[in-house]
Amino acid sequence: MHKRLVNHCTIALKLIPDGPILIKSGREGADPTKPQMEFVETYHHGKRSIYLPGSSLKGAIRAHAERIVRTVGRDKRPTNPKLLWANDPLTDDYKYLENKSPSEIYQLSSFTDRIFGNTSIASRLRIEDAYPSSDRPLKLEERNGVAIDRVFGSVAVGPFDYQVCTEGEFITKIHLKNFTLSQLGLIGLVLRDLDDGWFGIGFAKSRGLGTVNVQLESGVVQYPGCILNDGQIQALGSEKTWDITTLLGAGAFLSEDECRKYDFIIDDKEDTPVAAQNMDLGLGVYLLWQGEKQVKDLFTRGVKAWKRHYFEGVAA
Amino acid sequence: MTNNRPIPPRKPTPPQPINEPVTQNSFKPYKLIPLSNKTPQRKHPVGQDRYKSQLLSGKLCLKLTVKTSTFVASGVVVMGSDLSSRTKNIPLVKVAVGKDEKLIIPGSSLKGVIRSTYEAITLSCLCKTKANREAIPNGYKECNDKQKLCPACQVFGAMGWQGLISFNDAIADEIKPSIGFMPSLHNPRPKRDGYYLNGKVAGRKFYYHAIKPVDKGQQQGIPVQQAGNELTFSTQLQFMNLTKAELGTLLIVLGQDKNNNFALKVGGGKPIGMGTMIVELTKIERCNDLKNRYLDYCYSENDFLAGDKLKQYIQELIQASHNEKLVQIDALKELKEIWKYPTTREAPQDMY
Ligand SMILES: [Zn+2]
Repeated sequence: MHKRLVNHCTIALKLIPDGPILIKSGREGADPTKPQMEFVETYHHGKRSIYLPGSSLKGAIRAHAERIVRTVGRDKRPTNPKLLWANDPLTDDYKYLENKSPSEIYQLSSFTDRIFGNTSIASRLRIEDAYPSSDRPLKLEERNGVAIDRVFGSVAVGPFDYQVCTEGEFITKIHLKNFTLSQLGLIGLVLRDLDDGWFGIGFAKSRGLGTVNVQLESGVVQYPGCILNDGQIQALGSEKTWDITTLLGAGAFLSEDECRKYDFIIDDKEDTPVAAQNMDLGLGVYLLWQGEKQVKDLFTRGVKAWKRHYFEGVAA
Repeated sequence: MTNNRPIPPRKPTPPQPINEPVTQNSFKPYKLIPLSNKTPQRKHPVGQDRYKSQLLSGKLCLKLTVKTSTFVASGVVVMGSDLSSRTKNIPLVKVAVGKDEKLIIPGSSLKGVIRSTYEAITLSCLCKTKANREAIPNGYKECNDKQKLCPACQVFGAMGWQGLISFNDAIADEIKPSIGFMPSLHNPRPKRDGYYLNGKVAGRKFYYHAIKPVDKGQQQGIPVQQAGNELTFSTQLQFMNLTKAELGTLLIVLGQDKNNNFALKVGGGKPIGMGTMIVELTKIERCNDLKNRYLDYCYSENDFLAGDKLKQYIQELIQASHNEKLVQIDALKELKEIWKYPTTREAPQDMY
């Protein structure tokens, strides 16, 4: 089923430093006139600018998603594939995926690997690099750190200086393709915790760096293979139709057999307050959640599915 | 006031009976908290891979009040005229860390003082020192195996281990400009005998509080942008997977034990009486029901403890710290003696 795109979700958001943040560039101390640790820079709109690389954001989001899954689920592969679990991708040898069919690989992979990928399955989540917006000017400053000698009270280590960003806002988008509603729900929980300061991004969180506020801008869910027909969402080349106000996870588009094979939730759907609209070029439909309140509503529906997924696993 | 005036070091010290408060060290603005005869017990840290329901995760909301002027250097020196119209007649000013016009105590500075205090009152390794390796008492070498960590390294982190608490910048609650004076301080002399006992490091250095910092007087020095008296700062401290005893010990360090309350010393100018801050714990946010937190988008079960309930909980945690003997009573006594506040001590006019 992975060759077919059945649904796609794009969450647009802003990350606003709540205190200093630093995503370190690789080149340390190369230029004596610059701080020893510098923020990563790239060219954006023709000039140099600091930014938050999507790969760093994805790493932090993945780590916290794994933490959440382990908190309610397990950290080892259960015999019942419906139980929620997260592996540790850094130490997993993935031997259990060797010589398996694509559907078996998917079924045997952890909940988080199914989202973020592993040695055998591609990631279905992508985060764009986050660039500063012109609405809120960036403020970069230098901080310096020293470690005080515990015995003599003098400087034991340092001073080393580092560059931090303390103000501004970074715009980015998270893309999820062929997602299940419970996967969307987990991403919602991760972003909620990021906004709440339960984890940070970048360097030295324990020393007061990395806390950001998350401002949810919009959520767009697309069903590329669907059309609107008589006030209903209809999947092309299939009998399936849904009410125009339905949020559909990947399992909704598959046959029951396919769902069982891949361990997708059958009939993965939630009612929504927004209605599907035709996409510009006629083919495909989309639902749009605009602004913080509506995107939170979208996540609330995802988390309902996540909760159901959790209890189905526990009951099975 | 005069009975506690420090004795000038050049005068010969009259013989003092043991246990007299005026001893060889008492005219120095600091004291060493001795290392215990027991050695640090190391164990595997608890892990950050999940929130554990039998352990504590949440936030502490803290309010810090400046009692003697506090200065955390940003490393920047500017001309007074560039800072504000009030300072236009001062040629050069050392600038404190700030945001907009508000002063900041960086999370890294808070972590430094809180960590080093936690180390001193628990059986923890002697980290971050330039003392010779041979001078480090047995078992006190800085932890270097992330599988086996001393009590402080488990909570605050070590090489390859992130630790269980994270600090945020503390931001001043109001814009309150204040220019102070920082004398040139001598570097400590690590060769001094007082730092050693039988060839081994004698303890960890802590500075006393003073009624007020030394005046400009005849001293050489530079004006600094400081946090003045009674300025308050607010911050939050995030914790995950702490035991009751660990959180209780942290609260003792923050001066929340009513039997052992004291003020912290933050930033520069410690020898001359700067940097005294008292901490108020205004609120604890606890996550009691992790399942609920991670199965509902809009959870409502987090506990916000304040007022009497908070006081009760603080005592419960501190009791746990004593029951599990995580806090070392002797070291805590020493710390209380050094950091008790208010104080009647005066800052020494001689520089150390
Ligand atoms: Zn240690």
